[in-house]
Amino acid sequence: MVVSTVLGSKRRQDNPHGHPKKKHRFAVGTTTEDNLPVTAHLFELQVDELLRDLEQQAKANVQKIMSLLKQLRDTIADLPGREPLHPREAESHLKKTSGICTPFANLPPKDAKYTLEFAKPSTINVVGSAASETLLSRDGQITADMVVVMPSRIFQEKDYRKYRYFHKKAYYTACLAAGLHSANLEGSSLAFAMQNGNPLQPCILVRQQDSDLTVVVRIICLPPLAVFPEDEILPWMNSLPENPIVSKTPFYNSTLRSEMLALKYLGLIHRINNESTSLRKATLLFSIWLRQRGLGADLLQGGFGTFEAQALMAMMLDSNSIEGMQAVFRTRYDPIQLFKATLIFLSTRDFASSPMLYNYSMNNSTQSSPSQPLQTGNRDIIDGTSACFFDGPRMHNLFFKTSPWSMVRLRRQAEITVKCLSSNDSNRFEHCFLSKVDNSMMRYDLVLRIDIDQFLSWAKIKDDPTEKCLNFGNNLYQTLKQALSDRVQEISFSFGESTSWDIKHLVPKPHKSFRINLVFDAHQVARLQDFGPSADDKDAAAAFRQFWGAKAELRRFKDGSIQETVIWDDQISEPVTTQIIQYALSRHHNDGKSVSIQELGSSFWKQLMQPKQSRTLAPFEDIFRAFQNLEKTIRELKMPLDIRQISPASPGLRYSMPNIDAAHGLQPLQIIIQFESSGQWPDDLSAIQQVKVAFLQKLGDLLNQQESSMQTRVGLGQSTNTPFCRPFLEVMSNTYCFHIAVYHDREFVLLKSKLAGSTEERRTIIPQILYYNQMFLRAPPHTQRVKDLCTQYPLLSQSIRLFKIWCLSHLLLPHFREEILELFVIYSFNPTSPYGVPSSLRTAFLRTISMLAKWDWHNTPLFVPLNDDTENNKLMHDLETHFHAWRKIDPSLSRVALIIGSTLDPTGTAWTEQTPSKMVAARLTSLAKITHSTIMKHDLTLDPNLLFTHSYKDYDFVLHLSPHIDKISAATNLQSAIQSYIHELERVFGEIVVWFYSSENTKFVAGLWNPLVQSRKWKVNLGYSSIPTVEDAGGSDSSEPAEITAKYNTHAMLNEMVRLGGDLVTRVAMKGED
Amino acid sequence: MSAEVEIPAKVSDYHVLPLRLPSHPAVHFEAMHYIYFKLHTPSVPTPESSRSLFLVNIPIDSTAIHLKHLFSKQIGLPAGRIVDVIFNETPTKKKTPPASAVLGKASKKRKRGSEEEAVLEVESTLPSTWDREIYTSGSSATIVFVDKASLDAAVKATRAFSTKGNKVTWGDGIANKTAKLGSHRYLAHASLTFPPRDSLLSAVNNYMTIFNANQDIAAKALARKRSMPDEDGFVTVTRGGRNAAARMEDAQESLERQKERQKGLNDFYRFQGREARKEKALELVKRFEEDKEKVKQMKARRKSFKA
Repeated sequence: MVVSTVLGSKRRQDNPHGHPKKKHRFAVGTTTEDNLPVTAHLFELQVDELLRDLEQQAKANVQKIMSLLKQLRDTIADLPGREPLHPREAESHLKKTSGICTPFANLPPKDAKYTLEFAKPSTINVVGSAASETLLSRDGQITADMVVVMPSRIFQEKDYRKYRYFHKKAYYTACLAAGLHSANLEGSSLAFAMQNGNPLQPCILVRQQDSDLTVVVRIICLPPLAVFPEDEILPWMNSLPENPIVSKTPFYNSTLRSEMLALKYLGLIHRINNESTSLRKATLLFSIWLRQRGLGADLLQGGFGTFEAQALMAMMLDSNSIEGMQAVFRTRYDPIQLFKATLIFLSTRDFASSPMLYNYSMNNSTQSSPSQPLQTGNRDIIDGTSACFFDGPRMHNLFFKTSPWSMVRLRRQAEITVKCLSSNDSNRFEHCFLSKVDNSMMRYDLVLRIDIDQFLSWAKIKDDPTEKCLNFGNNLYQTLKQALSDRVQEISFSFGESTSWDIKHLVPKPHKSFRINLVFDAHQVARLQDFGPSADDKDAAAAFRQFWGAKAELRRFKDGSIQETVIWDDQISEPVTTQIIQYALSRHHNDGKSVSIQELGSSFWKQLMQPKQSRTLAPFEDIFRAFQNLEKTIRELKMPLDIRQISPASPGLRYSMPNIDAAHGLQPLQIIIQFESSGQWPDDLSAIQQVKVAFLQKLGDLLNQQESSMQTRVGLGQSTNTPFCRPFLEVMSNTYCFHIAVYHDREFVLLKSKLAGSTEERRTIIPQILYYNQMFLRAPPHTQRVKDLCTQYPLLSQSIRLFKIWCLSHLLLPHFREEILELFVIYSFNPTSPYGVPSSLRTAFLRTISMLAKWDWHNTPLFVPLNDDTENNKLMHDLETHFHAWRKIDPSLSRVALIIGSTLDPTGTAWTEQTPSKMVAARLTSLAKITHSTIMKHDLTLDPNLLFTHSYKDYDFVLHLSPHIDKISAATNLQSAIQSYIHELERVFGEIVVWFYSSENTKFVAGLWNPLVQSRKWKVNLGYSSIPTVEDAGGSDSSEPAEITAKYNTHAMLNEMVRLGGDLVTRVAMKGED
Repeated sequence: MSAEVEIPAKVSDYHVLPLRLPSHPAVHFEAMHYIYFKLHTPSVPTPESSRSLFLVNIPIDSTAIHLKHLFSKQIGLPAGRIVDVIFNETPTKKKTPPASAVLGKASKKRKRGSEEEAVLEVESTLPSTWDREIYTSGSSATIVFVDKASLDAAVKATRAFSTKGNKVTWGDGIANKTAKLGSHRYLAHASLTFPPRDSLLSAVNNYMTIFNANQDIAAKALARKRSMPDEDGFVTVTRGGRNAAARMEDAQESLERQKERQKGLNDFYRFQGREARKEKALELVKRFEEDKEKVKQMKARRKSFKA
């Protein structure tokens, strides 16, 4: 069923001067029977399950809070009234009699001509999540809202101006608190807080500890209906006429209006809830979704919370707001469709730059004409202080708390989630609802801390804090947005948490510092120039100059154009973005004085990779030049057979080699060469190797003739067994070392035919097939694909290398085929992941680590899409099938521990058969977990060196290797000798010891005895050096012959290792010794 | 270590021979090694097996020189009684002669099976990349003596030697006779990995000459079989004739091609279409059930769905 709705054509007429609107098609679900997404059912079932859980929880929570709510209602209804008093007097009287401080946003003037008083409330009601049964607990706390409608007799019509209403409300709230305080409710404590972080809206929190659950009731005072003139309290009106700075007070007005409308919205939601069961469920989904993303109704959290989402959906579902108008959403949508449709709605429009007038018409007349007030309203709403979704029937900007930057953030999150929901990723559910994506280290590419004092002094704004603070924030945002332009995708601010405070204390001052969070655009962020308008365009050029000041200069470009330009310095250690922010802030917000900015958690990444390496793909250019040179030369040679293909097949040739210097010899660059097929090849494995040797020798000879600078020699691989001797040709080209191997497809058939042989034969053949498969069949396409991805995502190359460095420093690298590690990193570049594609090295690294920490490889395979093909779907299904088959035939995970499929490999085992073992895989997970928790614990003060430091205490023994030996002059030779030594150790003791070592610059090799075979009943073919030990069978049955066990002869084996290493080993450290 | 631990003299039907291992500056402890030996009794006896001794758990750096030295100089048998030492990589694997025996020599090893198979194997010819073999831990070796009497004498002497509590140090005094280990070994390996061009080419040429000769012989044998009826009067079909016998892979390929051709015909009859639809529906139901199961499992794994 395809559900699509066109966003009302009527509203297009409503908004003739607004931005041209496209038809928004809400393709909510495309589940025709033929084209059923493989994972669709699963996702729905998961959501159903989640909803069932949440609904149960919500219902139970409502039960838990009911008694407190009733108790409070009774207490409040019985509170005695207080005499009207002059504001200052009232405040001091209250302070004296009950010790309560009135939570004024700003002090009422001394010459105030009105009085504050407390009288019996007209209504007491439960609203919000408790009323609509969407009450969820959070951090072991449930919060329900209770509204107290203040009696109309304490207000006058003009109270909506000059903060008078808010002063009266604050006093009323304080009196309520005083009343509750004296009523002394059992087991509960009182505090003031700002509702949604809005200083104009103080409220009372009544907390009750209920074993492990904290029950909180938020008491909110609301104005009476129909006291204030509704037509005066609109976003484009001014309610603070004395204030010379602002011409209108949208925030002030909307705050008041939101209070006046609270009960109306409650009614609307209640009505729609009766019409559609989906609303409640979609609201639950929204509250989970928002919570996981750290978004909330609080101004400091962005000002878009569950209520806004719920009200928005209710409005869109409401079919009888205006006669003859169809609702945008249908009540028959199921919760997922409603959720998705709302997200699509939020993602397709920037409500800050193009406000939306929803069902707006003059005086609710049915015909809507482009009349004057509407235009005014329209333009006035776009004053940039907040996003705008103008609810026509109620004449209220629902998004008045949502600042422009918050809207961009919300929109980006919505976009990512919509992308994820529309994809067929089998982890959709986890991505959308289960993963927490609010950690700033993982989410933002750059976090800066700035002290507010530099820009705003508290004294200046204390009369009118809200509007001024908001204006300041918005100005700052606009400046940064203009300055950073397309370098960033998202700019947001965090101001810390809003707190509650004791009812006997004054309102706390706002936080002194705040954070600027940036999400980069990876393609643009390192750009050193900003191009402005052409010099011909006088106005634009002037504006550009005005913004950039002395930094702007006119430049003539190669194509003859003359443009305004700003050039940034790349010699300074600070990245371009920081320079820009410094400059823009000091120029526009601090009269040119320098601004102090603290950059958090980023300095380390610079140290980790040398700056030269960290920038781009440039360091690999030399390698590729050498490769192309070699390829060209080879193609020109006259070989007995024509060359069909020359394919690179190693990390160095796909931008993912951690240490590029190793390409000079220590880690040669693998190249696969395939000749045209010929009937002349012998049909025998050994003979094929001999022919390969001859071919390679011929190739080497010809290369030498053609290009005498290229040194060549034919080498034989590790195995001494001829059929598997793996001959290769070593070529030094432009100082890089290449290893060329010949691919002959007949070999694979011959190898496979041997699989039918005896078990012994199989045992020798299987690793050969594995090698053949990886080396000749898998590596070339993998190399090609990763190379392409590295050019597509500018950060991928560095991220892979950084992650490999992490594996290297934790001695894991030798246990993994490098291809797997690359796939891990590519996985975090998946556009459907909850954070989106990473745009800095740090975020990429942390997201990879966090994925590994969470991955339950026992029970789930990992699928890494390498393109956005629809084919992936089927592949993923295949992978699942393979996965279950593997787990069935190999339940002890002795052959395959990790199953990682990709677009190129639906089997999931191409790179993981035999290595890593279960134990090493578990080690990877635990190291990732430790790293992840370290990151979470230190947050922005993290010293990244910590993540790359490895402890050697846990190993059973460590062989320290000689750093220098007299006879060996070149370090390369020593390193290659050490590598050979370790490889031999792995061969000789591979069954007994799990080896850990760094594959680069190796100074020691550590080992863990395999615990599985440490002591066994003695028999002949144990495969390890043993000590025969007579086992004490115990006193009782000593008549039986004593059993002889074979223990590891650890000392003898260590002695053998050392003997083998000879002068390479300097010291053996056993566990527990130093 | 373990001088204090009591070591049984015999384990199952193997005798235990303790050896002291040489010291090394990097290790500060003494280590003992235990070789188990018995008379060689393979399941399929060979002419040599009656005069052979079977050793298990030999040190990884064992060489023929080491073992000869152990029995003659260290245990005290007269020299020259050992004719051959055969190392088995692991006790179950079939034997491979020591590397030195095959270096650079091309020899037709054996002609296995009857004429019907005519498979010929040629011995490895490429130069080894190591100057000396190292065996995996717990490997075994077979020592062939000149005659049964020498074997018995050896067993007796060795048993007497170990029960008396005498201990000898492994490889004591023959350090110069074997290739050195340590950096020397690995540097040698680095250069041996790249054999000289000429020896490599001559090895390949030798091999290919013999290989081709063998192929010729095989082809001739096949041709003979083709042309001569056997005693029942049948002519065997073999490869290489005018109507060559097909390869297995070709047969498979053509089978697949056949399947491919028939693919489009699945909905030829109405009942086929009906069945396909039914199957699809069943598949959907199955998948739905699978998914339900999966959700259940997932839920069980994380107890609650809450993040």
